[in-house]
Amino acid sequence: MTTIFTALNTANTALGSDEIALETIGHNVANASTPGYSLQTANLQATPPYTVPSMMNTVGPGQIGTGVKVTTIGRGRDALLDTQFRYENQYAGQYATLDTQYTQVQGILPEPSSTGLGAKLSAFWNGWQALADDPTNMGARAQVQQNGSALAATLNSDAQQLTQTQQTADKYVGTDVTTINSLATQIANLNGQISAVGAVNQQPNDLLDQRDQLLDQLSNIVPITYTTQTNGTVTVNLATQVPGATTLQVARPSEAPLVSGTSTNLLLAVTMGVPTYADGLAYMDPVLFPTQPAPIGGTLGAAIQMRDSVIGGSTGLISQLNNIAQALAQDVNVQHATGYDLNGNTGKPFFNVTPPAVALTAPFSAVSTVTAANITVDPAIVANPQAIMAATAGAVGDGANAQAISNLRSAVGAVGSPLPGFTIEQSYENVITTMGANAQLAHNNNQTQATVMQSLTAQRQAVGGVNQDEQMTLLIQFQHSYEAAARVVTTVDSMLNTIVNHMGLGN
Amino acid sequence: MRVTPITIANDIIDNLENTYQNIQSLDRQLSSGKRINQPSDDPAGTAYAVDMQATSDWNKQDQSSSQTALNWLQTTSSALQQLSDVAARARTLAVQGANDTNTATDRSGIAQEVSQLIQQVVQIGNTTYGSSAIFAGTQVTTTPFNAQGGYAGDTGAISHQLGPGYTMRVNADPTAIFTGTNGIFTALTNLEQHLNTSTAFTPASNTGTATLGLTGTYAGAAATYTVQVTSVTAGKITGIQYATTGGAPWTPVAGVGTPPTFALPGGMTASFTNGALNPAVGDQFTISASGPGPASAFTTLATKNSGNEQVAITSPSTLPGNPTITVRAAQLDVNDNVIGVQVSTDGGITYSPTIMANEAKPAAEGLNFNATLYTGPTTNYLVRVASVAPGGTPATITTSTDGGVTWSAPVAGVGSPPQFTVAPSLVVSFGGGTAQANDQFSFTAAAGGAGQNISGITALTYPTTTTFNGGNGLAFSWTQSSYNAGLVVSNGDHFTFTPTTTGLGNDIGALDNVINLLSGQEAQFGAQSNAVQANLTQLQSIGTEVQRALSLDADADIAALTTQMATANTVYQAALAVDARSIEPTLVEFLK
Repeated sequence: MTTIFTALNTANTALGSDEIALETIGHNVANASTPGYSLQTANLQATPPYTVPSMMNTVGPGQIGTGVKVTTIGRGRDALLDTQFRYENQYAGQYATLDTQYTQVQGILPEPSSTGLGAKLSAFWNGWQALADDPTNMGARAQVQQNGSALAATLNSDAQQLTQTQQTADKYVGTDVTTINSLATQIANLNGQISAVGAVNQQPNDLLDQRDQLLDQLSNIVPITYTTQTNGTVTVNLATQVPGATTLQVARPSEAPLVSGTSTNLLLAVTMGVPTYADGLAYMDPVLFPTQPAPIGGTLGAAIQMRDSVIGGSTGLISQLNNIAQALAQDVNVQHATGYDLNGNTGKPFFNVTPPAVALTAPFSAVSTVTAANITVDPAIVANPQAIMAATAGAVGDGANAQAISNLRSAVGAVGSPLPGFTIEQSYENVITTMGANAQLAHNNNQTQATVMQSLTAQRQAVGGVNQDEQMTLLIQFQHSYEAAARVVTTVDSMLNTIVNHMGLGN
Repeated sequence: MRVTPITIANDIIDNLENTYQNIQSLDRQLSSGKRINQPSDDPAGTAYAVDMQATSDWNKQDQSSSQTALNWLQTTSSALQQLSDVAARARTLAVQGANDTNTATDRSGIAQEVSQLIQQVVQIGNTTYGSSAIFAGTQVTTTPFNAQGGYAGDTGAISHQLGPGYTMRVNADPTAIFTGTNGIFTALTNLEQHLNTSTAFTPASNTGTATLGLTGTYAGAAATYTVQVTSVTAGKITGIQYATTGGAPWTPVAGVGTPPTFALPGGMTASFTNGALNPAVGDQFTISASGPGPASAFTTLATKNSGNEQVAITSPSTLPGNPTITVRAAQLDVNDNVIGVQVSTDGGITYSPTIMANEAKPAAEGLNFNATLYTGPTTNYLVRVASVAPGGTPATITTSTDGGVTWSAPVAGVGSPPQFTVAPSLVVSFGGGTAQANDQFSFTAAAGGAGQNISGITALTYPTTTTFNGGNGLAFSWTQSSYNAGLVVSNGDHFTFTPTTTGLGNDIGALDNVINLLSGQEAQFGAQSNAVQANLTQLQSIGTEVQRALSLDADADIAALTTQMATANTVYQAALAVDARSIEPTLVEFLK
């Protein structure tokens, strides 16, 4: 049979469970704004019922409840949503970095404007035509020299600023690799703690939140895949896109993972100018792995892309500006050298390279030593614009060579020249268009990706976010539950009082 | 879906940021006035804008080049107009100068004005545009013409590019305009010279060529002019002048000869052999001329001295058929050999050989060296004056073998010793001067020839043809031997001749050509100016269109942007107001 004390005990379990629930609510409210925090829920379950034994018959009320207990503290988390979030997060990081970097690059090549290379080129060609109209005019000669110097200076400055931006991207690569290594180390540490807690069958909710937060951060920098092991640890690998699919695969299956249990396999950034790895990365340990697919996502991928293909590399902006500088020097010099200056000299270049110690020599074609960074107007012309060879024949009033140079603006580069199939202005326009289109794409992608991330964040919040209203409602609910249980205790107490003090004493 | 305050906060932040970015973009467009502020705003539009800007700049440069070209052309046109004025004035002066009533002094005065005109032309030729000489070819920094009209420039072309693929030469060819055949300098210089040298016609003697100094090509109308003999010495014409007043016409003595004949162009040679003939003056011979040509022009004779006679008859080089020409023996030597023939125009006496009386050879008939080809070494030879004509002119000379009297210093003011030039053909000539019989001269024989020594130097004829140049550059000549055969002229006799050379008359025609050339050039430069002006207008129109396209492509639409900006601001303000309220309240506020 049951005793009255059973009821007291039952009420007692309710009081204990409600306290735990209230504590959980308190924890939730406290962490409502903590990044990476997931909603915790006290999962209540009725304790096993008690079947009342009877000597008389088996007919009775049946099983009687014995109260409530908290089985687990649940965690509002959706693993699939996390995977999706981290998959998209690499693009968010990539596009955001590209967008920022392209903004810098666009600042270096400001078009359309009256100060960019386009305007300088235009002024340069026009100056030659003006000189052709009046070849003995020293003002026109000085103008041609000034225009040439301004054009060369713009090329120099553009190349220099692009190199600086490239170096900045290189620093980003270094910073990102450092961050990756730091995150990997922290994840490995958390792996150790989580497996230790898991070993005693407890739920390390807050540690898991921390680790998930680190994984979120990591996925923003570099694409990753990760798997959770049975002991609660997570194994993290660098990842690449599976071709033709929207999933990732392990980038370097032959190597040890970035994080495995409590051990890490940290990365080493290959800085600019060190000729080694396709992706600009190498594992610090074991030694070096020369040919690996490049991580194309994340802020790291964006920085490498910026450094090695957008600005640097054989088709990068610097290389394209170099081609323009070479075509310019080659075309103008070859034509210029056929003319005569005011003093009857011939065979000299208009453009040269700094320092003059590596000055160009005839016939001025195939000038591979010319770059956007070192092109300059020949010092002899800077010293005296009379040395500009405007005449085709020797006569001073002859401006035919200047006109021929001006007409080079319409000359299409031959096969094998630095700019085959295009004029110099067209090539520059192509550079601007391509860069602008890529910058526009990066910006649009960034905007789109931000929306995607916003949506995913909202979905995560739906699963694991803390809603104060909800928590307050629960708080009241459990408060009332607690009060009700307390009332049961009071009632049982009253009943005991009746039994002890007023029952059967003949009063 | 479950929504938490963080979701709302994130939404608010994102939306506010988007709105703010939108405002920033609009603000950038509004403040710069440009739709495209960086390439990513519109990559294709940026390339188009860069391209259009370059096109626009190029167009402006083409406009500038066209304007410069236009200025060149107009400066040149203006200079050509001035040259035309000068040429017109010069033509007026040439017409004045050609008037026969002018004296040499009058002509000299006109020549001075022409000289001024030449200086004016020099000044026009040195016209500059900016600091560039426009009539210097490509030597634009030189002063192309000096005061004498010497040209220091070249003929180089200066071309300007007036548009894509459109170039034009803007400078004239100075040599054609100034120094060419029809150049203004050439014409003016000739005019000045002709005016200055147009002196009275006063031949010095019959021993040489009387020249007025007027040379050039006669371009006047074909006409017959009259000259008048002004003096006769021993039956020979010693003075002649351009007749303006007429005088007694020359009447030939019947059967003796015709008036002096005058050279005509063309050439034909007929010959006959003296052989056994014993002709008399007035006898007629018939010779056949070969070759085509107008027989009517066949009016000339030439003469030949004794020996195996060659009668040279000049005539048009073409004769129709084989006409028969009658010539007359006009002169015999002391041995009755025919030494002169002439074309018979009056029939005359048909040849019948008769022995005529010896005629005295005129003392001053002439000297004739018949020298054979000299091939000896370079040596000095001596010749001796064998006889002296009246006036002291050597009449005959012979080679000196015995020394003789050496030529002493020339008489002051008379002349230098005769100069003998012995070429392979060994023609020895001498100028005027006073000589005595047996005077000796030396001459130098040049090496060469067939190895014979000089021999047979006998005599030197007078020039067979004496040429007088008439006024205004007109010239005529006669053959001396023809009148010596019996032609008697008197002072005041008139001869007619056909002019073959010209002077001032030609200058008028030359100036007409100059004026034609200049008007042609003026027309050409005017047409070029018009073309460039049209090109400039077109370029300006294209430039405006390019600017419009550029503006449409790259400029901001302020009205639309302002509206959008107002909308964005409103949205932002509203969002701020609403969001501020939606963040705050939670259930916590109400559980008190």
